[in-house]
Amino acid sequence: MYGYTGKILRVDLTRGEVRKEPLDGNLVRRFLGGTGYASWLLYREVGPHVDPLGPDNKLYFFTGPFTGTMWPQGNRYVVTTRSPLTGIWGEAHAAGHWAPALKFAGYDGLVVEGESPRPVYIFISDERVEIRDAGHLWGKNVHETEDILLDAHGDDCRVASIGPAGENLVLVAAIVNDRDRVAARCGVGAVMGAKRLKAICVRGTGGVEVADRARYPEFCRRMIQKLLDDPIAGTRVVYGTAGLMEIMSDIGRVPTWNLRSGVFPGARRIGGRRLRQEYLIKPRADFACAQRCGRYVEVREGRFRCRTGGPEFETLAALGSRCGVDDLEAVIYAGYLCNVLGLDTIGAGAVISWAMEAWERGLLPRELVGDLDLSWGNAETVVELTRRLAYREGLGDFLASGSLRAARELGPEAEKLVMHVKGMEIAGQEPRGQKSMGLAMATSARGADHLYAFPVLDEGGFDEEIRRVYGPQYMPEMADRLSPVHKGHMVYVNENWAAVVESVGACKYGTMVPPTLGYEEVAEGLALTCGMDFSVADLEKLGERVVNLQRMYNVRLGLRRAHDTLPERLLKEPAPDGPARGHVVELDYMLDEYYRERGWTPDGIPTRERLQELGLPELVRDLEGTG
Amino acid sequence: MKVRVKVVGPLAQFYPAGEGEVELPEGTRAAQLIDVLGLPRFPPPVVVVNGRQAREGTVLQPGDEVSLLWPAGGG
Repeated sequence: MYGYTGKILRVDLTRGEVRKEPLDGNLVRRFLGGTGYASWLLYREVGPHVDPLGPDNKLYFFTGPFTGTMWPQGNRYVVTTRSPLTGIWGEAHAAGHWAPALKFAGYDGLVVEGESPRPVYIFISDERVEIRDAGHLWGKNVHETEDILLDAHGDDCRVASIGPAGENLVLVAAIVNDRDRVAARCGVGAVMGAKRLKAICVRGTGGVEVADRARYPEFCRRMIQKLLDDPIAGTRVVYGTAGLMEIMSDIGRVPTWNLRSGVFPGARRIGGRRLRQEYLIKPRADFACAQRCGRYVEVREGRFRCRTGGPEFETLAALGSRCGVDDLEAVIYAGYLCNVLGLDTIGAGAVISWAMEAWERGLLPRELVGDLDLSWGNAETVVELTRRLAYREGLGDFLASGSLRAARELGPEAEKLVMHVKGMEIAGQEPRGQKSMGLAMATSARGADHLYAFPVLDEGGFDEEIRRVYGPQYMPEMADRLSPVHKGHMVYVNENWAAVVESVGACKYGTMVPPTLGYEEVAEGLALTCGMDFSVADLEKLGERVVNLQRMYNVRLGLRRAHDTLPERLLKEPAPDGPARGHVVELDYMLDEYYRERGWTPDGIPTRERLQELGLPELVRDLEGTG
Repeated sequence: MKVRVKVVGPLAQFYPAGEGEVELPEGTRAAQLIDVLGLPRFPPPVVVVNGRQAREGTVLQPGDEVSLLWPAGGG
């Protein structure tokens, strides 16, 4: 099987058993790999009555056919599960070197089942797979864990692990690989913690066989050159994603003070220029990465002294502008704490900013807050509360199940301040300043999420790309980030394409923004890598199939249109300042168009006919009782 | 006529003043500001006039607030 290893590893932690099973060729044809394949298994194996933190939930670590190949940024994996944060379909993604190592060891995917009675880690060295005692690792942070495992097994291994946050079942806990690459969202780290699985240490000495050895290297050279020739992809190395901070504030869509505003007066102080001039050690490239938007940074002295990966734009927005913090060293340090303690920086910043606003409005009692000063912009508090969140200390414990659960203990006024969709906190986008993002957050299968559709081409400067990807008939409205017109179509197209990107193991940078490598390039890549013949239409249908599969996972749990919504603030309170001043998100208008495009009912439910057309006949019976 | 300009984010390295007022002849198109300010054309800067992206024919008016920035591309 070219492009794939042909094997999936299943590790049952309850029984202490390891099984290897063949990759199913029919499923590959239907779902490729990555999010598609993993979501199918989740749908079949983890039903509506499974407790996300119980032994029957599973973690699906899946690569795609491009993972571990020379395809630019062919380094990614997904980890799919039923999310303990939201209770619905959940997934997180990461780059790095860990996923290629898993593939080089001979596995396209790793399914972790059951629950160990004591802390363990999984050690994989090619054919050899062992469940080992992790008593000496429990309580260690991510960097300590990696150091100990690399000392024990050799520094040719790659490690994915959880920190104290995952061990303590914090619902914004992440899985961290290669020290600073983070599968962050949906509380996947807590699922790993509940299974008492501390780490997965992998040595892979094999490779990935490609179908057309003669033409493959030249094809990859061409793909890499296309990226490097692009003005956005080719210059990403200079500022990384941090370069977005000042721009996003200027266009009025950087979340500020818990999304009260989209304009942050301190954007320049925590922006990409300062990060580069004062703190950058060097850009970071992960396996096969041509763009190198990752960072290594260092705060050399003072109380926030650290060396770490990042911070990405999302971290700057979450722990910076969203909390009103313009102290870049504090934001770098809080981001570092998230990496070593195993937290999602977005989730951490979101719960802290919610607490700050609840405190300001007198909704958070002093006995919960303790000795902390929750004033906006208090950098010390953001750092300290990040730590307490991971260790469940004081207010950190109250916040550890996410802002929605915390707010519900305080009442409806506090709940109104939670900036979430379906229980997951909104990331670094203020959607009153970018309407497509508002729709994307509402429809994303994992709850508030910018990446599920990643509709970023309306941020400015992509008119030509919009004409090419969507068609000239959608101009100029689609390019206007403040207009809701055609955004249903945009999100529909993007979700399908993103599902393909996440199924082959590629990066959204270079495929979605800029949209340099598209369906045709992926189809050519699949032919040369796997010897599989997919037309562009086949791939479009495959992406749509995956989106419908994930939607059906949530429909089976009772989700409907009413759940595809946004916080009242974004729907009813006009943005107070900046270019979006006076705007709210016209969600219903966009949702109507989106459901029409999908061929779903006005209540947001896939139809029997649509599921059959898309090759998902097995799911039709789950439509019973949906009205 | 006078317009208020702001060069935002990484692009500001080519316009160290960052922001200021610029005197322009009547009828100046938004896109001409890139050359007026001496900004590089790679990556192509986006010109935003009063919060909305300028189109090819957008003509500046006295008192306009103009931002120039690189395409955002992500986030």
